[in-house]
Amino acid sequence: MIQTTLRITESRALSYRIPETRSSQPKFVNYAVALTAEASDGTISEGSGEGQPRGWMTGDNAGNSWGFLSEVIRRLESVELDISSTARAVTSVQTQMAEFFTLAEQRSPDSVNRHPFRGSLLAVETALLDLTARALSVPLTALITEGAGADTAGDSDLPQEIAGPAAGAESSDEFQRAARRPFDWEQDTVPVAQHDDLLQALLILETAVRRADHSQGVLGLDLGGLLDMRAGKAFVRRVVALAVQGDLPKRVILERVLPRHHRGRTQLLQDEADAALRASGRRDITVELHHQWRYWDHQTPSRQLQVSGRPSVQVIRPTQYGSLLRTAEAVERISSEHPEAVLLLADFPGATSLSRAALRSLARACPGARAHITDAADGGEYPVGAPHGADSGHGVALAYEAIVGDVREMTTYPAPPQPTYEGRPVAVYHDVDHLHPLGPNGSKGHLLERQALALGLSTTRYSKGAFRAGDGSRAPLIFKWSRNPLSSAASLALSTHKEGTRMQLQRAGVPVPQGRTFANGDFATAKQFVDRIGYPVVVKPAMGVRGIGVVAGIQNEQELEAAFDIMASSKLGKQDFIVEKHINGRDYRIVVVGDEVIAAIQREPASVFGDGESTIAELLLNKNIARKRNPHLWARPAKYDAAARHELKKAGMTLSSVPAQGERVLLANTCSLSQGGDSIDVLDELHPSIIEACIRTVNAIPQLEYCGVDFLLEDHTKPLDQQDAGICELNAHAAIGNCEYPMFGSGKPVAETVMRACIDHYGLTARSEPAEEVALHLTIRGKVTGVGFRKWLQRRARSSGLTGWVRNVDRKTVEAVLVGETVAATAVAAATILGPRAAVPTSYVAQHVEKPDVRDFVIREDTAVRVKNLAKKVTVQAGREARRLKIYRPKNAQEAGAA
Amino acid sequence: MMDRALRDGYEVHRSALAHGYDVVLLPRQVMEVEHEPTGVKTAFSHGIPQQTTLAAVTYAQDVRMRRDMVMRAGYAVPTGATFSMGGSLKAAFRYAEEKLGFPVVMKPAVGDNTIDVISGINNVEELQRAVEFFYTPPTERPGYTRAAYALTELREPGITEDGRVVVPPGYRFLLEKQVAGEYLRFLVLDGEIINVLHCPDGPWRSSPEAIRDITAEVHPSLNQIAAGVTAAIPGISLAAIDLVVADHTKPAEAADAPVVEYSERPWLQVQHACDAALAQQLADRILAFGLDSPLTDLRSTVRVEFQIYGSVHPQDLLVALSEEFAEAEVSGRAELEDQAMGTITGEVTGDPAEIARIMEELLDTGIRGQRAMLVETRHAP
Repeated sequence: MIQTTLRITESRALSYRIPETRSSQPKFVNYAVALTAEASDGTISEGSGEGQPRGWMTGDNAGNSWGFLSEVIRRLESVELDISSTARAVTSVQTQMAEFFTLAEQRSPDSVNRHPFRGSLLAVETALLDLTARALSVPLTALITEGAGADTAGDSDLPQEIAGPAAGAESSDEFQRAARRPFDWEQDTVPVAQHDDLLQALLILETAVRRADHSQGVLGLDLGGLLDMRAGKAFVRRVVALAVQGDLPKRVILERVLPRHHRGRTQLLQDEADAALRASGRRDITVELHHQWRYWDHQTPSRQLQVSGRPSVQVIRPTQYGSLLRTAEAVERISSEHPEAVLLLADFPGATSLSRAALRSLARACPGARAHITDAADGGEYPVGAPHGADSGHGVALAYEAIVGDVREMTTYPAPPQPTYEGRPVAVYHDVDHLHPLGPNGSKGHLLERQALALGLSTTRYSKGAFRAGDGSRAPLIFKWSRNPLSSAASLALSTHKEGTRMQLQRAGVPVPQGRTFANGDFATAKQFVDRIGYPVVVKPAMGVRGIGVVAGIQNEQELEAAFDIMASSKLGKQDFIVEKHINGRDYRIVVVGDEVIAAIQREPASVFGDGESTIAELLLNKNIARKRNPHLWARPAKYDAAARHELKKAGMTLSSVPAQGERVLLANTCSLSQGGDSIDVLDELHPSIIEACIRTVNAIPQLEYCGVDFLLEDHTKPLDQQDAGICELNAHAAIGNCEYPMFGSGKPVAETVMRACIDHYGLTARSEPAEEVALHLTIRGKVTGVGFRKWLQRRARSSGLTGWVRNVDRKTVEAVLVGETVAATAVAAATILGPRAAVPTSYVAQHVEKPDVRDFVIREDTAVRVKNLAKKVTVQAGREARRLKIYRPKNAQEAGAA
Repeated sequence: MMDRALRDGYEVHRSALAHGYDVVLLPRQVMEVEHEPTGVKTAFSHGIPQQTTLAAVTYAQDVRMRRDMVMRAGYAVPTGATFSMGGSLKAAFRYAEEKLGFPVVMKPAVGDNTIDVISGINNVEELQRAVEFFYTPPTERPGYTRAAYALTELREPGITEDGRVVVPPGYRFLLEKQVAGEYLRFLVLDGEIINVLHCPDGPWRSSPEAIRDITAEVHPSLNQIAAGVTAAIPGISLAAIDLVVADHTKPAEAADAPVVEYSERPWLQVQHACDAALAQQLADRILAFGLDSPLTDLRSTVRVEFQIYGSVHPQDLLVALSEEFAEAEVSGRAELEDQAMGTITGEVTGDPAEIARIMEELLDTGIRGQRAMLVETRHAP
């Protein structure tokens, strides 16, 4: 039966970060679009595509590209495509995409970039084409060929593929060996393989030499801004060397070697080439450097070819065209108008296997292209796409399992329901966007300062973790992370020693697991002890933190030996270790301040709950997107790692399995929130006997006034004496964020309670209620001038909805006023201790000021300049006044002396 | 010779037993002291009273922050800056040569103050040797000690090209101009100067004979400065403050007495080297402050009941205890109470200093290879 229409039933966009393979490589973010559609006969089809939003190079800096893509995804829901024939399918996609190209222009009215969101659009078009091709059971190449209006039939031979180092750099070709031999950077020795971009430039050069017609003695080469200055110079020297050897024509024209923002430095490359040529003594060879950067359609390369009138190599990137169809059309037009030109199709850095599949389909449809270049950079090995086996579309399906841990954003229509935990909804927090700029652990060092400022104190911050707060009259309160002025040094010294803590609590009559400490490496005695107390047991370092080296639930001798190995090889493996009875309870963190339990969360291993429709991968992604909105958990996603695979295997499932409605699927065996565990607020349900035990626990430790009690309980609603329970750890500097921001239930004001307790204990003067809005004067010191600090702060303040101003005071000082909502202003203030990339702030002082009359956030004139201008003004005025009064002013000292 | 790191805790422990207080000694020199009849109770860590807060010791152990706080309080510190081993070594050499000028002092940026301080660096070669020393991870350095409340090092160690394990690249150190003059050690308790020593070559390099108690001679203006410096970090109840001055008998302004060290630990080992009785007297004062109660009832011999918990090999420990007590002329008995939990009980009579020493060593590195986790010592009725 011939299908006539295809209705999109689900549209999804994902943004994910390509894992870096080297620290020197930038971290690329790609977009993927996945579509599901139902044909008129009920057949379900899927399609996927990827794009690389690369700022100004792809027009994705024209505005909020993710917001634009999300809007497109919403518009795609329920869209119907005519697939009654290949031609109509292509027309249908083209019509739809034309609408989105128009929308892109509408969504970037103020942008100087007139080709907006091309990286995003490419992902959409590729997914639409793949979807329709798969619904029609034809290769993607067939649709592109149809769209390009090419004379040749689709699915022609694949043009030569040039692969990067991953595909094997060995070759018997002499030129290739010469071009790829270890590079001599300024006479040093860095192998080419260590610089992907340089290698790609050499591949382009190599192809140019192979393919171009050298009869005219001219070689033109376009690198698309691939190289930085250092690599560019090395490349130019290599080109000169090859030309001198006779491997290249005598006239070489290099275009767009440097990125556009460095185009002004092209002359430096020209100087490098000229110097190398002079050194060779060959006056008959020329190497010319040019720069031309607008490659958004076929016209530019065509015009360039017409102007130069020489055979040239042009690199065409579909990401800049925002469309496979438009790229194919451009290639056909250029190659028919300029048959002498060598056209290469190429990805953008960070393109993955999903893009590679689409590029191959495009290359097959473009007989005018001499070659295509894949795995341009690190993304080539990132398995976002996996072959789906069918001979249709571009042959690759989006592999969720490869990206679940790297997804930054996801938008799905129709929107899936928010995850729940046993009926409890996800907690909603409104300050997460303000806290993001502080980094993954940003809330950890910030929440107490936020409360201090909200309560009217001024603060001085020394680092991400350390600050002091004062009222200007009494001695200030000092904090580092949650090390506070309430608890004693002795309390931390004891509570970080697990065995000492256990014994002290045992003496205080608090339930603790039976166990004892063993000397580092004394596994034989530990085994004898386990034989005595019986399994299951837990093994952990004597003075552990963050659960490092801890292995729980050990059931037999084999697992015990494995646990010893794990602990010994951990960062804390050189310590003595503890073996204690494992309590079959759930894991709780209960926070005590003074004599009061103020927060309690239950911690559960990472898991998803089925809805009867979604795969585990989709549920996991949905959960991680919800975690993104949690200020404490946004950078701690549930991962699809070895532990998750192990748990799924135990359950006989895979990421593609669809769990039944309400079915819980475990993805980890640890309750660690850092490993994706869930936190559930249970404060209001705690049994009084548990609260009483927590307070007795804290009182048993000398001067412990703030503590996270880690309790193992079978049921937090039942009396302690009716269950197996025990306190396994105390944390005198417990992170505040996990109880302030539980994933399910409601957050508790831990930071405010701690700050209030400090203020009351030391008798500081503070506001009775936290201020909702503040006006803060900041004095920031360190390397903060000449590094773009003021522009950075302006951008940050404006995006947080703040008003105020910033200005330089002197070489090492910047001052600013931030006015606005407390959560926003305090977070921006905290971010100034980090500053822009090149800044090294060493401290800031934040003080409350009267709210100034400002309506925007502006950069004010430097103090030094202001003083200079003021002095000039005063001098001029004084001169005028002197002239008016006809006062004689001595011209020099001699004259003055004589007078 | 007792380890310098144990000295403070031990001296306060000794003082408590000698003055009739019961003691619960926990790992890492955490010690609870109580007097059941009066209900007086307090705790110490390395001899530091519990009045010293967790935040305060954390700040004191961070050289950059405590220098800043001392300066903001109006006191002088030698010119200096911090650098990292992995990122700014070249800058450190430039700084020492071009900005500071030799001689300079090099010290860890975070950790126990006065430890691993290299002074008298007079040229680039000596600075290079100091840097080499700092490459060694702290745990491998001779005389390593680390306070129980110090921040835990979780950074990955660095590894050199030849496979040597070194400090993490982010490990920071301070380079400070070495100040010439008299090196004075002030012991400040609750704002009061309880001792001043003149240590000609610093606290650890001066010979015991050269260290001189000058508490009675020091000019009051210097005492005022030392007390003010201590107060720069709120929450420090006991501190060792090192100032360098031209003449300790002459009046001085804050600018004339730069602060070269600020430690939240008293380091009574320095006083002990000068005069053992002096260290004991100072420990008595620290105990009295911690208890907020004057000490009475000094005894040269005590009879105490004890319970030892968490012995790994309790039978072997019984043997070790009997040998150790006999050698220290402490008489009494000890017996096994619970083999599975490693609990031993007993009663001994003897010099409180020896009993305190044995118990401190038992919980630290062990006596005759035997360790335990908790000791409760109560005076026998």
